[in-house]
Amino acid sequence: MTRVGRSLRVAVFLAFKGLIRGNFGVTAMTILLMALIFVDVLFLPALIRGAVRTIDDQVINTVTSDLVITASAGAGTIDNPGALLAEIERTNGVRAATATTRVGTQISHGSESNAWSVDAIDPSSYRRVFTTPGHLIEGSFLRSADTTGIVLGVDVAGADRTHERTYSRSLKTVHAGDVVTVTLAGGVTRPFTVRGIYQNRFPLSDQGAFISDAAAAAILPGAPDRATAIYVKADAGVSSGALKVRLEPLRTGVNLQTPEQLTAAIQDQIDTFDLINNIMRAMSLLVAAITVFIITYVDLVNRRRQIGIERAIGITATAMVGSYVIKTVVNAIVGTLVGLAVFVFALTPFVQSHPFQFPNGPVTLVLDAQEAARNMGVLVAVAVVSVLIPAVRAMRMKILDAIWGT
Amino acid sequence: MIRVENVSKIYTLGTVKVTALRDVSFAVDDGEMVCISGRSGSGKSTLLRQLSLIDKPTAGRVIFDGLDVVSLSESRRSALRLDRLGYVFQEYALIPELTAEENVFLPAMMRGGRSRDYHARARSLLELVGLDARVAHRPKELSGGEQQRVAIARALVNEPSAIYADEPTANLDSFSGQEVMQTLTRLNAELGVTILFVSHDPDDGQYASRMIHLRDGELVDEPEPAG
Repeated sequence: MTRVGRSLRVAVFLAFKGLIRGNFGVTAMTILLMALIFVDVLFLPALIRGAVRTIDDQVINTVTSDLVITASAGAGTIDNPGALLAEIERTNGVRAATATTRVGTQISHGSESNAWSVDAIDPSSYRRVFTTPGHLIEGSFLRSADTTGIVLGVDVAGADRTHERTYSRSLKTVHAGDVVTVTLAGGVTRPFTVRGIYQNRFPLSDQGAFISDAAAAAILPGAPDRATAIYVKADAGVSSGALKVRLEPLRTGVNLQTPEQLTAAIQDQIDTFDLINNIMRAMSLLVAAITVFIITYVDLVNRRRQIGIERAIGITATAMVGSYVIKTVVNAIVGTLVGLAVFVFALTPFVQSHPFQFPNGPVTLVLDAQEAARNMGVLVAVAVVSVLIPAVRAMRMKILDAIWGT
Repeated sequence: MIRVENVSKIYTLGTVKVTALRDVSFAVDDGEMVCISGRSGSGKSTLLRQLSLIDKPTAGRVIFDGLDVVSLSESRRSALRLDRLGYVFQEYALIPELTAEENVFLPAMMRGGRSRDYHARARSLLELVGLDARVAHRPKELSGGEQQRVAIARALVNEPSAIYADEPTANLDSFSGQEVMQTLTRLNAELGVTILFVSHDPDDGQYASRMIHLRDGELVDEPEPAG
């Protein structure tokens, strides 16, 4: 066996004996610290991933669906949307599609008035594409033949919810059953009875208002022949990108956009989250490094004489440094596994049942297994580097200085 | 054979230079049991450390089995300490996490070889020093004298040419001290291993085949008068 091989064998032996017979308190404290640091390293990325997933879900479920088709620049509206919808729905990978037409720009109630978009929709197909009809806090959703009803987002109606951030800009006191005045295209005003009020807990969609296609057709004769946008819901497992490729040949003169293309502003937020996340992770790893360094340094100072004696009887520096590295790696792996177990089996279920209420909706923790494994590797590597510095320094001391503690 | 030629050791403490050994020369034949005696501060432990390769002299040569060990690299000196020398410290110096048997076979494991062999050797050495019933005990479960005998067994495990013992009885009661010295004497007689031990106790001279006296870092012919 080579000298290095013998040193490694002694290193493993000393490390193993040190772990099972050494100071239990120090080992337990090291593992606990590593576990806490690992939970800290995992927490913020998981929270950010949860927040991003919430935003993604809210965008797809209430604003864009999986694909948005709009008229190309200059055209303004999509002509003959019914024919296009029929073709879209026949396409493989499409679960449902719905068209909307922007018909109104202002809603008033009493002395309160503000500019909000009002879209004409087909309630039955809209229900298959978006989840908004299921998020009513008052009343009911539109019916296809309803020509006098309107559904309002909570940020439009107000609904006496004075605690909502957008209350001051809303109609404040509107509830289901109340009548509001809508200013339609061409300046035509019509009264509509509020059938229901929805709350998606997502600012981009809670500012909407909907009337039925039938109502729009009754007031604006040309409305059924054009649409502002068509929204397409994909079958499970079909990506927006794949859907776009399949639908592009159906009609020229229209734009097909995925949710990612439409939410570039949100992507900026996500990038900022990532930056914060990286800074916090670096801080956590620094704390880990300093913690391991201090624990090892104190241990080495206390064992300086023993190190001198071991060197005096011929134990190599490689064996001694190796034993410290092995002990640290074991402690770091056990610590990170304990931290992972706490995160997966305690923290995540707790947050699942008590989600954080973010402005964009309830947020839970979403753990990425690959990132967790990578963070575990990084934490173990940081621990190894942190133990190497004091250990190698201790081995470079003169034997007598080590024995005498000078 | 160990030959010491004009060895001097000067420690520098800040701006002050302290001469611990001054031009010391002597030789020890194989199988001798030599006591290095002298008062506290006479340089006897310093001399032992130069011989046992734990420290390097400022001047002079130490020849061990024909090899000038002063000029060797630290890794060669470390290998020599492991393979050819045994060292017994004043304060037992056992590894607390290891049993008596494990403490003994650790240098043998470092040297290489089969696990079965060094386990057997450690057990036979512990039997030789009268601790065959204590193989599985850890240092904290042993008395001072027992720990020192474990340290002696450890010093012997790689079958060294020489054992260096630095005041091996200094921290022991008289009975345990006698046991340790008798153990060293018996090993010297039975195994023929060269033993150099340091003592400030004139009575320990009875165990040695020869005495070396040091006074203020210099070799003298006669021990310093008591008082």
